[in-house]
Amino acid sequence: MKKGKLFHDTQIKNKLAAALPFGEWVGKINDVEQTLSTVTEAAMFSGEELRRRQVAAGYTIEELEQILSPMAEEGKETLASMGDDTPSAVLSKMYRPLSHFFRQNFSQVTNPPIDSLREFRVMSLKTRFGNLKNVLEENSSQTEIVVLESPFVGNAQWDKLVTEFNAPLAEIDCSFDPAKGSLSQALERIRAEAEDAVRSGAGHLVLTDQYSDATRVAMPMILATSAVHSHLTRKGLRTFSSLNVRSAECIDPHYFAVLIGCGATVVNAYLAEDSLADRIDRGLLDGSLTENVARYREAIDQGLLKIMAKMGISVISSYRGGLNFEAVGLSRAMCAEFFPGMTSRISGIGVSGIQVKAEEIHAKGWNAADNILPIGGFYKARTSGETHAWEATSMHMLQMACNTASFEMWKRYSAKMQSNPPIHLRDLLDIKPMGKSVPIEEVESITSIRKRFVTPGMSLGALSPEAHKTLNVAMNRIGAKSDSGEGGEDPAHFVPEPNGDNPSAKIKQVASGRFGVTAEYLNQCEELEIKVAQGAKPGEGGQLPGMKVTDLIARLRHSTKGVTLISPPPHHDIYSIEDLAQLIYDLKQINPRCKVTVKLVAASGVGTIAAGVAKAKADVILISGHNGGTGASPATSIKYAGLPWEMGLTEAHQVLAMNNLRERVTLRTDGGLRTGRDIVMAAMLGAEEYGIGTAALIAMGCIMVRQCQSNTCPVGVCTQDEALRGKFTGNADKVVNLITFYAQEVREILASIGARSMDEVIGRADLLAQVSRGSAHLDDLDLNPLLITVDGAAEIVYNRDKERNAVPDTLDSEIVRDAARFLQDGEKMQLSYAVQNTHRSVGTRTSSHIVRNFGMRNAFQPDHLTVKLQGSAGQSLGAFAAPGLKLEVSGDANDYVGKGLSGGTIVVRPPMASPLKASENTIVGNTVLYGATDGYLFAAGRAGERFAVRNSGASVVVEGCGACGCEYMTGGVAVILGSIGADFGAGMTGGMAYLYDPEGKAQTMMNMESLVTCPVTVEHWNTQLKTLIERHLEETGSRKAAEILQNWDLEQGNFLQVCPIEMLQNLKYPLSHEKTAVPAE
Amino acid sequence: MTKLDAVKYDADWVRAEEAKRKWMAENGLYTEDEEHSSCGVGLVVAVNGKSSRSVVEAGINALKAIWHRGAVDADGKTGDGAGIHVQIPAPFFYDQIRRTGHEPREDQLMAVGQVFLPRTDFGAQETCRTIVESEVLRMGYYIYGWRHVPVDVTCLGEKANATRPEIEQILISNSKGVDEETFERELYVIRRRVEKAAAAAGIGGLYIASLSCRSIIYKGMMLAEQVAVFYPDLMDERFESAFAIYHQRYSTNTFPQWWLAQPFRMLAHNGEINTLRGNTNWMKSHEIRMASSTFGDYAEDIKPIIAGGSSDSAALDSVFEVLVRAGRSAPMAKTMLVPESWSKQAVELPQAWRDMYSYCNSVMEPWDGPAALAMTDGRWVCAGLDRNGLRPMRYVVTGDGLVIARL
Repeated sequence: MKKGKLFHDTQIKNKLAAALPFGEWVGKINDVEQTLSTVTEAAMFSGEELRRRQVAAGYTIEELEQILSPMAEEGKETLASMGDDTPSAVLSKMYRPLSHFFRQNFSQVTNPPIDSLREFRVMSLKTRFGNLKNVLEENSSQTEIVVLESPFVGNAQWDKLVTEFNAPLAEIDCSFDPAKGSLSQALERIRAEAEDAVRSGAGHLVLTDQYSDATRVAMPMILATSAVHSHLTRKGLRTFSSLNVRSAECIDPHYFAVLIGCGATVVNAYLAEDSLADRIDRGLLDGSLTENVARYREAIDQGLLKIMAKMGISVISSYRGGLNFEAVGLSRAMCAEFFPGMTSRISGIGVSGIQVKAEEIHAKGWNAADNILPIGGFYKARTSGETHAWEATSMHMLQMACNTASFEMWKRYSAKMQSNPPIHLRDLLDIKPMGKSVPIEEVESITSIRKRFVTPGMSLGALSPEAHKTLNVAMNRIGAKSDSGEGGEDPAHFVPEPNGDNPSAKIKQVASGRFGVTAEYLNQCEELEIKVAQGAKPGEGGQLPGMKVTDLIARLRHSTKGVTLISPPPHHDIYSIEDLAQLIYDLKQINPRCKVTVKLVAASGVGTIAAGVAKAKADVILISGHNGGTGASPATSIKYAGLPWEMGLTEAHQVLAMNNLRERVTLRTDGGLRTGRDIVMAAMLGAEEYGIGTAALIAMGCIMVRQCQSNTCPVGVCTQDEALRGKFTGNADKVVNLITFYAQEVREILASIGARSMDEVIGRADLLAQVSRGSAHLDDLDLNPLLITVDGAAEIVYNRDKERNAVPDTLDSEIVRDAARFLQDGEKMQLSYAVQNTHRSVGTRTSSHIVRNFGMRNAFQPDHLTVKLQGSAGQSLGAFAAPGLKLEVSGDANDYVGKGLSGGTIVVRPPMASPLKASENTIVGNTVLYGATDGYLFAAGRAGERFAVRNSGASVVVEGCGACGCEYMTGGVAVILGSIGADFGAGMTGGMAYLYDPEGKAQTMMNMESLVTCPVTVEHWNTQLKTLIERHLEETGSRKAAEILQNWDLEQGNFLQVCPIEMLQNLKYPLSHEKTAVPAE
Repeated sequence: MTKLDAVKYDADWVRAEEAKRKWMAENGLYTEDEEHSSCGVGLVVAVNGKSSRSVVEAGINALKAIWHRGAVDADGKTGDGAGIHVQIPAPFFYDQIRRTGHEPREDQLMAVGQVFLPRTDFGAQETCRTIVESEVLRMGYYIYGWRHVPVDVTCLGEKANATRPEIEQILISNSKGVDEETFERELYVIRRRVEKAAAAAGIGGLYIASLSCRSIIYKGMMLAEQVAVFYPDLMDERFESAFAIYHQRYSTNTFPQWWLAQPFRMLAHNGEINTLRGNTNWMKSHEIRMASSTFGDYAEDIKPIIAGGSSDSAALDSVFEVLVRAGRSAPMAKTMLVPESWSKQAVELPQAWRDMYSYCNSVMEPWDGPAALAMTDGRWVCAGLDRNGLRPMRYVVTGDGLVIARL
């Protein structure tokens, strides 16, 4: 500014990069990746000793077969399904590694998670070693470091790595002899040794538990690592040394992530590697150890990236030492000492308790006569293994009850559930009476209580069409609500069945994939639910494999049969809370009556997010527990992300009440509500409505085989396979019985505690008391934080029937008034307005009127109602615009143009007088045509980032776009007459794109993983392209289009046709007449 | 909202509300650390570097257009915070100095501190003034005096008014005659000392929004469009600047806290730093070596670089400020803290850039998370995005030589 000059990005970077001899300095960096990739891996322990060590480290056969082996075989983490119904680690009777107490953080609403698979270019696991120098210096000493591409190091790699180190190394033994001193003293010792070593000049520390033996017990390496890291940080010494960890217990990506989050520089999972070697020796794994370890490393790398990505972190150097976890059941005192800064709101096991557990498992391995690996049972129920809430007997009882309408049987089921050892935090609580019991006739009726129930969003795609419809019919019959889930709904459901049943879900979900989200869909409901995260895998996206995409699903999702569908991890129109407010605004525009729900997953901080969501004018907030989920998810996501609903719900209720926002919203919860007692407890903790997922599936026949991910559900609930669907035995009556039993049991409990209605007990956490404090070895498992009441909470009025929170009108209030003749009689009209960027969602409410009056398949001309706008249009121009509506902007438009476009036409062109070269300037903002299903967009200028993301049907012409164009696109046609940004077409599985690329640069900007490209040579495609450009010229008067068309014969050779590989077999016309252009699959 | 109407928003309400939050944080599941905020942010800058009235006006108008990126509390007037960062218009402040009876020393650089003081507790207010004055004098600079900043409280919501601080400016002259860089660095040390002294004295209400010889920040808990109404200074014809960085906050919190409004001293940030905890930890280790080399004897005064309880934006601002005070330019500081993703780009970056980023990776952990940043060190005004470009940002260059960026 002093120089009076504007520097663009490139100029600044050139200037900065040239200012200092960075090149020379970075030449001193020692990248050892190449060196390490050539070593041959070798095991450290084998035979008898290996098995002793495995048992002592808590290994099970299940862990080896279900978790470790698949990683070494596939290079990927295993998938699982049907959620988690095992006890919280702190409540378990079994040995649970310390990692089980750590819950991964994830982002929701306030910032977006990242897609670590498709946007891998922004992610990095680059790990640096050595004494980090003064940040403020500028010289080559700062770069005298060793770097590696991943924090995973194999056994032999480890030996090689330490020879590359440029500074002294100190090894610290992390085992202890309990006969000679406690774990606590041992931690003191390693801290002192570490400090001493660093002060004497060690540039690398090694913490290892490999020296444990019959007398020496291994410390939990998570605790040891964090003890040393936090100690060195406090002393200001951490940057002087790397902290390298060898751990026996470490197997899965979650454990790696916890170690790195605690400050580890690299991790060597030596015993896991030895176990792989052992399996190879016994013929259970193919290939050499080196190959298997390489795939294991790949799986761990992917897992780490996913764990970082789900909370929006893309570089491991910033993740390291960040303790991006929340502890459940770790003693607060221990956290303050050894894990400073990590949230732990429910206290529990402390250092002495951990010592007890560590000695127990150590004894099993080293001192028992028969050290056989236990079978396990953490992932699937086994008789000798971990407790599971759903096991054969309880499922059978529930199904019997629902099949025979027997409340007696339900009571037995409920009693069985309550007799389980504690699984959830609420199992340590009991309900106190409010007063004397009241006669049951005086209590709110079952019919009235039933209306509070919801079957949560399970998509058609996860569920079979039969199961999906059964839930809708059942819930509608009793005046309760079902949720369509992501993936649209059959328009046939929008009319009643011949027998009078209503098969349409009252709640329609809007998820990140926006599948089937059309103006019509959004108008066929009482409530719209924005799914920000889901309990089974918060912060992650989803994928519906091609084999599950049947004709029906493809039709509903506006995609192609057999072609994979991807849901991105974030909503690309919600990167922060004000974006969510905008989406809520859009939804309230397209549907003038529906309430808007925001679905969050329980996590620490969900309360403040809920407060923000309430301020964004949501009407209902759903807090999902971590344990639910039909969806296929990586096993570690199911197990280690998200919190139990008890904690999330309570926090949301407390913080909303504290901010006087509680009355504005209705709170709903779900995630493992199994009995009437659970419902009453949820009510007392603040929930007004209750979601029943897994139990409803069981009532329809689910037997928890936990293979939803493989399309082989034997009872036809979670499959698209025709034959298996035939085995579906569920019906609406069974579901109605289920909900009725819940309600009946709730009613009995209310009567017994002296309450006459649900409203009387909502938010009355004071009616709950802690009756057990868990096992004896725990410090203090204190649930009091769940049980406090906020000042003034007694006056809160819970009214679920109140009007929705109103949003202000936009330009559409004028348009609708002026277009009365069109909206009543379908008369063709043309209107004209000045528009400003504070006019948001222009055309949306008008579209609502169009689909309500005339339907989506109306007979209007594309420009039947033409609205001409002059100026700068605000966000979400033409969101969900319906057929018959045409918006013409002379000026420019903000973000989210044509969001969910449903058949309307949008034209944006610069004002006639503009001196700017249209094709070089941005005319429409970011995230254009997100989730569009049909219609046209012509913009005479460039589009911003994430252009046409998740487009599944709109045709569009623009004159250039930013990064991540056509990401996750599954349909429609995109013509881009200018340069594109990086990562074009990542995750694109359908539709077609044409890039004008006279300089031949486009190819380098594309993410070619799922794409093929070729010149446009086939007549059919040539016509499609030319017609669209001609229309673009006609609508916008684009100079660029005119130039191209003038020399069409020449210019058509400058176009690059981009087609997803998966679409090739579905194309009506070949991409090329020559066979060679289409690569063999 | 009948219940709300019954609440009286006064000092008692503030105390009760503060006590409630504290109790909730200790006993309930609420954690203050979890408060989030995000925003609308942008900048206007004259390319020729000349200050003018039109830049300030463009900034004020831009604030009016981003109102929908902020949230409004139940009373319809209390915003989540908004503000504007501009250059110090010397003629304007010279006139103010004359009104105090002094003759401005136009040959010496002038600095202005924008200070929030406790409003209702006069004893504490006076203590705060004393702390500020003694630190300025201790560093050897001349004080013209205090100026009570005129405000129009009618545009405030009741809650915002209840928590409103006394807003004053301290006018300082560079009587030591040091160069501008040194003056700025010492003003920074003064500010850090004041903050520490206030904390030691147990006074919570003292906050220095800005203390600089280059620029000044006007901010508070009003709606974005009301910033210039609340601060009539901004409407003064003499109030000119060559840049304006503006910010509107949307917070999950409903308890108005004036000091949380942005812009901060160097930057305005929209987004979220996901790696805050890790970054803060690493800074604790870095700062030992960082502080000593640049600040010499003052090293102890500026530590810890990141004050406890800082929000992610505030923490980033603190580190950014140290880097700049230590001589890095604003663009280089940005590159070090929020680098591009360089190692796996489809199109190879120029080798020189790769080397630079590789160097940055060797010395500093990136501050990662979606972010749109508008910042200034008084010489450079820049805007930038995070490594993923997750936040929307747009800029235009107008015909009359203004760059306007909206993030």
